Amino acid sequence: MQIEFYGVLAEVAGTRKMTLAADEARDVQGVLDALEQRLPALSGHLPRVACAVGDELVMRGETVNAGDTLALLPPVSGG
Amino acid sequence: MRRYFEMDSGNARRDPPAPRQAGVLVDSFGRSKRKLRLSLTDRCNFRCGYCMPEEPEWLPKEQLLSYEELLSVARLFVEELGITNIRLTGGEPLVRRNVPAFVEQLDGLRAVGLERISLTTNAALLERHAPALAAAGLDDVNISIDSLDPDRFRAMTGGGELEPVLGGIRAARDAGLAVKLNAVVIKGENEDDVLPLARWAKDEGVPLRYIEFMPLDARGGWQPGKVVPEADIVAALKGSFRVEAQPRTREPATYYTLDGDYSIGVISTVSNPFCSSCDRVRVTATGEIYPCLFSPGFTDLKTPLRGGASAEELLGVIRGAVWQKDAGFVVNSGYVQRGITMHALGG
Repeated sequence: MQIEFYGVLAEVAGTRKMTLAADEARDVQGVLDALEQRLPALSGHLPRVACAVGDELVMRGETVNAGDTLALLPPVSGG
Repeated sequence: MRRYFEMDSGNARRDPPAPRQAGVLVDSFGRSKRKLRLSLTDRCNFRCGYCMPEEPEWLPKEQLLSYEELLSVARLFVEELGITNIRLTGGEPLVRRNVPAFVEQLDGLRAVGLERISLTTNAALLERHAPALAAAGLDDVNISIDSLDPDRFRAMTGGGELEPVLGGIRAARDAGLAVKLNAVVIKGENEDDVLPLARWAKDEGVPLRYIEFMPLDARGGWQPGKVVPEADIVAALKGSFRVEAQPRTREPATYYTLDGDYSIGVISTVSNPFCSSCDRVRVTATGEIYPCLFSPGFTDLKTPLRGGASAEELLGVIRGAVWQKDAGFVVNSGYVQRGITMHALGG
């Protein structure tokens, strides 16, 4: 599945997009755990991100399919 | 409200402090609060899509705190709780009458520890008030402006006129107020304004920061097609300027130097994990304390205030509200389900 990094995460991950090998569906938390293994630098941020599939926010317990794109959105600072 | 992050033992909540603990306002994660964002009103003379809901429900007038009440709240925060900075927000704060007189009253709190008085505004009403605000003790003003094209400006603000805003910016600068411009960049709406805004701000000698738009909405949706990432904003600037990145600081913005002599910023998302250095607390125009922009709930200060609570009791309410501040942005179903939107929280 594809992971998209928004805001500061793009800087921390060093990229705006990444592919995670996944042959089966798993829940959002599972995806974040796998991501943290790949990129430990993200670990402080991941508990704070909102996650979206398409144009809908998804909660940690919801399922992400192998072909989905998961967007990670950190909190906004405000102006 | 359920929470969707695990708190490991390193972040475990400590017991609340003893009731009469003196000293600086702090939350259970040890983050001291220095900055109060105080909303004067939820009303606004603009209707920007990312702030104002389509059909705003205005707060009942009798629930808006009077200036006397706002001053007593401000005094508690400054004199007893260590707040050093107050930023006045809205809605649009200048739609409320007599703001300069209120600023003058706040200015009196410098004697008990207040260091800085700031204002966030769309500047449409600033030209006539800028000298009085400066004389009253206002230090700085953040002005929101998303386009220099009059038609685009009118479309994005739901009918606002550009010329008065430009007049307001110049009047603030000329009155000696420190001015910063904030421009939200939205794909499909104003990405063509990135260069004109930079050129204008540079020529006028006014600092500018772009805000990277994160289009989450109250219905649990998000619009990836509207995001213009920081890298794209910088790429647009490179079309006309020599752009050099400055080293990162603790500020929310990353800064770039244009042609060696003008600094421009991009505000993105929170860069500290766990929002670990947050020193802000918010109070709405009806006296509700929101420790965080994303707090799922609030603490009502208005009722005890109007009910004749003592200063000690009010301080207890404030300390308790801030103590409970979450570690950071908490994901809930439908973003954050709560009965408040940006225009009432002051963004």
